[in-house]
Amino acid sequence: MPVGRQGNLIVRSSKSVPDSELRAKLIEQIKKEKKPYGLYFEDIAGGFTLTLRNMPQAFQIMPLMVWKVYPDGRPDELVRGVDIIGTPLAALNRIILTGTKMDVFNGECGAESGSVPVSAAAPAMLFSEIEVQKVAQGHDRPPVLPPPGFEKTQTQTAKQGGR
Amino acid sequence: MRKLLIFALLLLPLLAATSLLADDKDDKVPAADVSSNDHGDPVLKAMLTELKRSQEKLQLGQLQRPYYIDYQVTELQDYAADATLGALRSDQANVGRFVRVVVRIGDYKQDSYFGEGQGTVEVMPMDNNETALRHQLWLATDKAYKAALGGLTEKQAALKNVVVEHEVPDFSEEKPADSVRDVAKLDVDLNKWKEVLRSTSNLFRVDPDLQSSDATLHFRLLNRFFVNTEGTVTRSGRAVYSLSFSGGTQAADGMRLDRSHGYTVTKPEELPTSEQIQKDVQKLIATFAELRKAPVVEDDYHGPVLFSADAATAMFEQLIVRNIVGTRPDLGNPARTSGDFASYYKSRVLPDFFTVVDDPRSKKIDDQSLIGSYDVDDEGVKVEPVTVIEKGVLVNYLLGREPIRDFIHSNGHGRTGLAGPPRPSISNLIFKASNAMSFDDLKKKLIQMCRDQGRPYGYYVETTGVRLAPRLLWRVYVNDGHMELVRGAVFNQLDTRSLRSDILAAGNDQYVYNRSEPVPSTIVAPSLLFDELEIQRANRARETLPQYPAPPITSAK
Repeated sequence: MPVGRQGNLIVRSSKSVPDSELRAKLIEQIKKEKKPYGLYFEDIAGGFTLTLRNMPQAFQIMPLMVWKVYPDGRPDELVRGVDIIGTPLAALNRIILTGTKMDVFNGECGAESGSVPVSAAAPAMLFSEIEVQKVAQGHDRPPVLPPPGFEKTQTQTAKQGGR
Repeated sequence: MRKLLIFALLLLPLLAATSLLADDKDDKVPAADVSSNDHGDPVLKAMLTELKRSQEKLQLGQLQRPYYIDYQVTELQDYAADATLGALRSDQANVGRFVRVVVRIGDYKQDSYFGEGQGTVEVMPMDNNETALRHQLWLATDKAYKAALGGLTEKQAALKNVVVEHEVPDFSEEKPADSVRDVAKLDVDLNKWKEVLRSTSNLFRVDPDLQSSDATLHFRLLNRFFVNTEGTVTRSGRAVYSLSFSGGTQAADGMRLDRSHGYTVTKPEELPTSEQIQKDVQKLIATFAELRKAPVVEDDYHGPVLFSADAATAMFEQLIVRNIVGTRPDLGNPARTSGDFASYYKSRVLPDFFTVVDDPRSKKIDDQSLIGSYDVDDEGVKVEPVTVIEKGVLVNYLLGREPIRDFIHSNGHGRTGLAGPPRPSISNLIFKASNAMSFDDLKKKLIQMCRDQGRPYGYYVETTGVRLAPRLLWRVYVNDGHMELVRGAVFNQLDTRSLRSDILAAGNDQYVYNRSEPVPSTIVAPSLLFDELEIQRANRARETLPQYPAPPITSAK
């Protein structure tokens, strides 16, 4: 049965700074809050929001690339195992400002009425506060044997960028 | 106190794992060897290379190494389409490659093939790219090995809770096979056959009282590659071409009436011609009009019944096939197999004039190809014909590599449809009677018996549907031999007991029933005369007829 769904969701901001200045604004905020570090979410795998009346109205986002940003000039540090959680109204009220460059997400969104194609467009956003939690992790042993063709060498890790 | 408790908890997993620890003998590479002959096939090459590496090196810490590994790669091309009233309704293609990896730890007597340890199935790359193929085999083997370690523990734990009356090995020891046959290719013009579906389904327009009708095709090609650490290498290709049509209507009193007709063959040239299909469709459509006006069976009948060879194959499929396969019952259950014939070994299950042979080597009967034929089963075991029932006595079961009491070797019947675990299955199951008589003589005998018993008529079952409910059931009248179609009947108490004691005679005709599910197999049987069977009215709720007629359908397109 069809239900009300997202089509092209476009988020525009009336309080923005050029993207090149966002990092400085983040560090400024970290210092103001007297935090040891802030977080920069570069990329996410996806997320979901519970919308049923009998469940808490909460969302969870699964980031892929998360960096710790230090206010003292140390290089950023890549971290893993972090999920963003919260409730939509509380979280969205903590956006301080945004960047100017819009990015477009085209993908599939799943809900009661199935998967539908959707788009979302938004600039980068700076939050004064966001809640994160540790990801539940599996404890599967890695494969016993090295992959075929790599019996004598160590497994190489990618040095180049890319998602 | 708290410290002590933690210590005890830490120790627990260690204790549980002791039975999995390798003995000294496990440090050696198992005696049997992986074949080095890939027959120039890139898929077999990738499989053998990864199999050898796994056999030589796969070991997790100090835990046991596998004593046996097999890889089964199945390549599938599957096309299905159907049409109704001249219009194509569905058209699907499904193409892919899977691998099933079985790793066994322990030994032939007791191993890890239990619970999660019964193999791992993964999707395989379709291109013959050695790196990509081996990579997926590597991951699947790793997963299957870890699951096997769990399976053995699980089995040993389960065995502690039951009394095992008969010690039967877990896995049969068999000679390695090397049998590499050509892969099959799907050799048909699909567009032409979709056109045949349109024209075939269009023929049903002539009967405005048909509520449903369709023509369906299902062409399936399976190429299978199998290797194991005992040295077996096999490759085989199989194609099954099925075409069928069916219709459904309601009689004036609301009774649902269904008919269907199908052809299942191994080569496209064996599929029927358009003329043949047209003839068969018209014959089928004519029976709907006959059935709608046929009288409903009202009274219970206990007396002689004649089965056509077609109906006999359907009945044997229901009553014999699942009982002659040697499927091991659950752990601790002392029965020999899990079928109805578990305690019938060396006992009579059919009249003494019947002999039943399962013959995977037979390829044709008369002009009809048998779709259950093969050289080597899905566990890499070579096959020979197996006499299952000799002069009415059950002398054998059909077996894969899971032994049952008194049958510790496979006879080449471990088979699987797609990527499930192989299970004992029939191939070409052929029923033969030594005292066969012509169908006409059987009919005469039916009439004579009814006359002697003072009955006005006997029954003849031409074809059956779901749960053996007759679809075409005729009364054969004693006075002049004429036949009258009736509807709405079911058999009561038609079971393995009636097969043992109520079959009086068999015909010298035979019907070849090719079935594509659960695995391609064939049942061949003659017509049968039963001494006494019970036929009664089917008591089912009837739906009312549609409130208003179907939209006008003309016979022209």
